[in-house]
Amino acid sequence: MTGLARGLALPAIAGLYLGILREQHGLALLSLSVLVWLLVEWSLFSWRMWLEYPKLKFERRINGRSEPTGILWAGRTVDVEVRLTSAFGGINGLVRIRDVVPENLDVIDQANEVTIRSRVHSAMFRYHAKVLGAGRLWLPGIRIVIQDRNGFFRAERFIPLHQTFRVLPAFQSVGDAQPIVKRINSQPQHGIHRLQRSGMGSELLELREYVPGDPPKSIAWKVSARRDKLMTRQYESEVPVRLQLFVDGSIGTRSGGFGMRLLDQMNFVAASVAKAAISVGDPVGAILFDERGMRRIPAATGDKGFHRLLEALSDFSVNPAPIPDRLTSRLIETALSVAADQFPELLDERINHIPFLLFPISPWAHRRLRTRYRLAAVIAQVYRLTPEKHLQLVFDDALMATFAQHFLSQSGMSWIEPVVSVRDRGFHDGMGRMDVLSNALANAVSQARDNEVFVVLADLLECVPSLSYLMPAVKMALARHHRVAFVCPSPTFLRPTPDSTTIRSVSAEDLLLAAEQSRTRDLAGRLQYELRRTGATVSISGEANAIQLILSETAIARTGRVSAGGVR
Amino acid sequence: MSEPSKFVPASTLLERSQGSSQFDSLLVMAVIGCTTGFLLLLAPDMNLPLKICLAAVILLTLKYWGSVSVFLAVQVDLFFREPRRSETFQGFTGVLTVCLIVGLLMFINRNREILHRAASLSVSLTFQRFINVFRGEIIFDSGKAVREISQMMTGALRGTAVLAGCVFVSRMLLNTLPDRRSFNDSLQTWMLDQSSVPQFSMLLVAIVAAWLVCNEISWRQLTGEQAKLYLRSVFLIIHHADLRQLVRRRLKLRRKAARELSNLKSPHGILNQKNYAGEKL
Repeated sequence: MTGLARGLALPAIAGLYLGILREQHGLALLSLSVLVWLLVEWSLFSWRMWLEYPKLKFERRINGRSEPTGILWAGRTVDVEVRLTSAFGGINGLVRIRDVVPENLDVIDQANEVTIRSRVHSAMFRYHAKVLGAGRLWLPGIRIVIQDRNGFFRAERFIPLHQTFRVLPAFQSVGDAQPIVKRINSQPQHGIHRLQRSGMGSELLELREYVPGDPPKSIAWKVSARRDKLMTRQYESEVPVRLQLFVDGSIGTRSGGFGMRLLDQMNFVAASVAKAAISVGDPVGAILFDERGMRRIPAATGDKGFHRLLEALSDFSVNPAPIPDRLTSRLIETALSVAADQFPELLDERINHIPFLLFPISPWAHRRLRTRYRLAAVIAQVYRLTPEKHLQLVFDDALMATFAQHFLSQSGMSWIEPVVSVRDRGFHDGMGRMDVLSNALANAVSQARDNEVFVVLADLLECVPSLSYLMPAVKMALARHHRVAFVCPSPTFLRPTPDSTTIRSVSAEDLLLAAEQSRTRDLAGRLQYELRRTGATVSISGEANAIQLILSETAIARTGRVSAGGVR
Repeated sequence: MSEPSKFVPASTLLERSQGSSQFDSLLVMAVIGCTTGFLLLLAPDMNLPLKICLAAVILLTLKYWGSVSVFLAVQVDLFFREPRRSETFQGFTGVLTVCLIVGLLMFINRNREILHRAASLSVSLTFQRFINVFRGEIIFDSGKAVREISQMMTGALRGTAVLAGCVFVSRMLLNTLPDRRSFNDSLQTWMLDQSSVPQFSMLLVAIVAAWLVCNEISWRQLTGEQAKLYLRSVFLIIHHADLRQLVRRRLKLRRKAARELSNLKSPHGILNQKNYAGEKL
């Protein structure tokens, strides 16, 4: 029963009583008519709930497919179609239907909510939505709100209709890096590049004097006759160029909304670079690291290898549930709104009883505590907690924060700040991250073969003071003639150029952006200075220029040249 | 892109919830006009400016309260103006009047969403819409309009049937109920009657049986998860005091242990004091 029905029922009862008592027939008849009207509407509503609602069937098709699992691409628009059928013989209005979508899906024009206003036997609605970030997309189901036409009674239900999709990262096709004009006599096979060092290739590199031990077939007889001494032909090497991507997935790169995370920028760069490298036959591998540890994706080539890499990046992009140690009102509100979306029937006051509470006296604090009791009951029911744990959720902030974050993560929500309440501690101060990255780089160098390109995609801007931990590994990689490129995503998605720090207007947003940009510029300058000294190349912000920088590094590695590192 | 499903015989493309109707402005004007007219009819002895002020206040509450304020106004008017034991409302006139009042309440309630939407728009935009209606400058989709007219007609028929039934049943019930004068005599006669005890027992049993049936129906309407949560919350209410004591005690101990640990680790803590003493030695 809604407030409107209560607002009519109470005066009607009072009016009926007074009408009979004072023998005012008109007042009594009017009040009784309103009461009977409410009763009739309740009966019709209960009838609908009893017979029509359980017979409703829903089917959702994403891009024309209704399978429970599938693959989607970040940054692309999907076509969603929801079909509704009633086995009872139709459903009457007023019914609001909303396809509950996770935060990773941006619905265009809020068209995922429709209303049935008249009796229908079967119906459908379509909407378009954009997938924001790589990871997992879980569509939980359909939320329906059944109302009578007068707004007296209302029931909210959730019909589970699970579909889970793996969202692969977006990538940019940068074109075929293979030169079209033939510049050499013998074309090496796909993925093999000429390296201007002596080896067993087919192209001539140089001629040198014969040294005992050289194979007789390598002696250049005509040149030896002209010079009157034995000369040996030296051939070029023909080797593959391996691209090794190091992707940082620490907490700092995962905070923010889907599509706006630093990890999304890094995924974009990594996928674009991998696509370009694999298209010319270079094997691409990856090392994905975060607080949980390190995962190595072996270097592979071809479409299969590319998809394996994208799948690994997609799995890596799924936010794990963090363990926060601070409960905020925003966290509670968000968890409550998600619970109201996905478990509306569990928030019903007739089901979700709350014990009698005398304290706190303040009505606001009292309401907050009641809300927390309700949310605790829903979470306890969802995770099948014991009654003791259930009550502990009410009194223990840390436990509530942990379960609320788990609940939100599993419902497809991004992390709610603050994920880390105290900085300069553990992995988040940069030392931990530098240690992991340094170990990963050293391992990769020890397992590297000929000439490799190491691309480090990490949020290093905040770790500049701890950069000395990484330097030995970088120097070792460069000493072994590998190429090392760093891509640091910028939190503002802008490259910290002098123009970007100019204040556009005096609005709070622009001032904040300019302040953030000048801070980023300062950090970027220090980072570039430190890394350039070793000969590595650096790019700040994950954009097309960063992709070009890495591809040019790969091109240098293919020729075997050694040149100074660049900065972009 | 999407092939039609085999089990969907006739699909209806549903409209967005935020979508507007072809007759929004007309309906808003009709509701405001009917309500204002009706409110001005109430309390004929009251000053017109005061009456207009009260009507305006009631109209302003339509967005949030719907028909409740109108119903209260009518009740108050009847309470003060209707004479006792009046024959006016006994006959056809009374039934017709009640039908009109309840019909107005239904009309307001059915259009509450449109009123809500109109109230959330700016005043200038609302007036612009009204002017557009009068000038005939509205974009008209004939197919949608036909659909909406048919829906409105169906709704109106259903509403009329409900209205007539409600007033008829109320009239019958009111006739069967004892009035104030005969109530005491009827009660006294019933109490002195020999069969009053078994009749009362039967009434009690019937009430208990009805209560049980209602409970059973409401229990069976619950989903599995709802039933589990209901049992959980009832269990929590019964054992709330004990469990709360247990949990609070445990939290207190945990905080105490954490505090002690942090004291030990602090520069002036016991561990560091020992070290300091050791160094001195």
